[in-house]
Amino acid sequence: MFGKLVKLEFKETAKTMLLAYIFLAILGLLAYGLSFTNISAATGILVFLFVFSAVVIGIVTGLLMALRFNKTMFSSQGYLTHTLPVTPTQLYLSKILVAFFWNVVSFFAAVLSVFAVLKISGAWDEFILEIMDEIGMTPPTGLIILFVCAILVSLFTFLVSTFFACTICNTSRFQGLGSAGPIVIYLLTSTILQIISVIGTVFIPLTLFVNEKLKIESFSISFPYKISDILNESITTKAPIGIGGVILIYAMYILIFVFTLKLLKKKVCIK
Amino acid sequence: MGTLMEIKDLTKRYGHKTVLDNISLSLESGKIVGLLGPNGCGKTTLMKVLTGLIKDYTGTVLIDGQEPGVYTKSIISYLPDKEYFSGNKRPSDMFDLFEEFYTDFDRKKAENMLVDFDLDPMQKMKTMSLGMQEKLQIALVMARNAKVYLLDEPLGGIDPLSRDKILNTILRNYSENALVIISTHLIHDVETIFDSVLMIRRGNLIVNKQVDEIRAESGKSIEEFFKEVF
Repeated sequence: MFGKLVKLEFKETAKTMLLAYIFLAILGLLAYGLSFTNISAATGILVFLFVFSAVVIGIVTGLLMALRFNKTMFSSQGYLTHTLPVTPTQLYLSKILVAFFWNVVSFFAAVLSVFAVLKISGAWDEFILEIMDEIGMTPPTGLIILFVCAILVSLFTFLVSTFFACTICNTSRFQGLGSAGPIVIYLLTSTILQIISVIGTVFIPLTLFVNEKLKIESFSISFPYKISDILNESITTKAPIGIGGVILIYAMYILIFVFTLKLLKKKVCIK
Repeated sequence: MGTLMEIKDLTKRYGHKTVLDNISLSLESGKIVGLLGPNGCGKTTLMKVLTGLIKDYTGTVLIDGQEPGVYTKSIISYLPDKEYFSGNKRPSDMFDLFEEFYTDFDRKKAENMLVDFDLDPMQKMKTMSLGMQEKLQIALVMARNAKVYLLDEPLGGIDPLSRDKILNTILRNYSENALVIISTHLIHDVETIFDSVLMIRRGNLIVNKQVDEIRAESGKSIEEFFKEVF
């Protein structure tokens, strides 16, 4: 049944997402075509529209997926969704998996669009040179992998927290918050998580030291920042990164993920 | 005809408000049961508990020996009191979906009902009236060969002319060994098909009797008896 749910979810979302990508591709092709003419104003507007649309699609996809989750799970459509012979876990996982897929595709579509514009406009080499200048001629592979992983994780955690906000607002205790409830809960959760992250970063004695080329130099079980260093604003060549906050925040996201599943299994009431 | 549904001490609260108060009953297969009561008495809440839409209740609910879950959802065919379609869907899309998820869904039966109701399988939901959507929902629900049919206000948005057609559809299409629970305000239109009735007032089950018994004891129709009780 899980496979059927994933298939259904793809079918339901593919039309909107593919239309958005086709729109983006057409804008890109038009801008590319016009770049060979002398109509520079039109080209400029199209390039702007192309980049703007790419960025909007990249940002809005996650939001659209959260809205779809809320609509199919907790509006009148939830009467069908929750009476299908599947478990709440299967429902949740199928939805978050497909939402994550589109989120990743949209994000990379946005990044590739910006790169394409840089390449076509000739600014690509300048852009690359600037990065090389900052971090050395060969960017550290570890850092690139870490960067991509961080993006993927943040795209996923956005979905985890928005799905959680929608779910908790459909339990008896929080139903009174109304349609603004999920937004309030999401903002509240994000704020609390940020505070926890800062506390974890400063007060958990786990520190990574990276050099000016952003290469990891060493790892130490010590506090990343000493109060005296902060007060004196002393900067060393080895920048400390407190990873306690990162670990703590991901632990919190795992808890939120598990808690959402528990709510779906035991506490949710469809209005 | 064995016991298909067993409810013991079922209580559901919304905050401090008790919507279902210690309800206990058991229902057999092969019966059509009327679930009656004024607005807000807890009929829909009871249906939602049975379908698994409400999970935070206390007490025991067993359907075919199992608590509401994947198995019970596979044997319950539920008609909610609202339409659950997305606007850009067509009846044929809904048939595909039901065929995919419910092994007991009979597509041919659903298509025939659609013809009876004068509905176009390719018409988009957003262009359908509420009544048309309700008819489609009834076709979907009754095209399943389910063990339990839970019909919440099946005649609610249907015009008086079509009500007989809907009732006939229900009677023609439910499996004989199934348990059918119909919640309704329109008692007069439906009472002839009930085997027994449950009456709920403010979350309490106050009547659980056979229709013949009520008629013999009170000498009244179910609608008259209902008015007397409430």
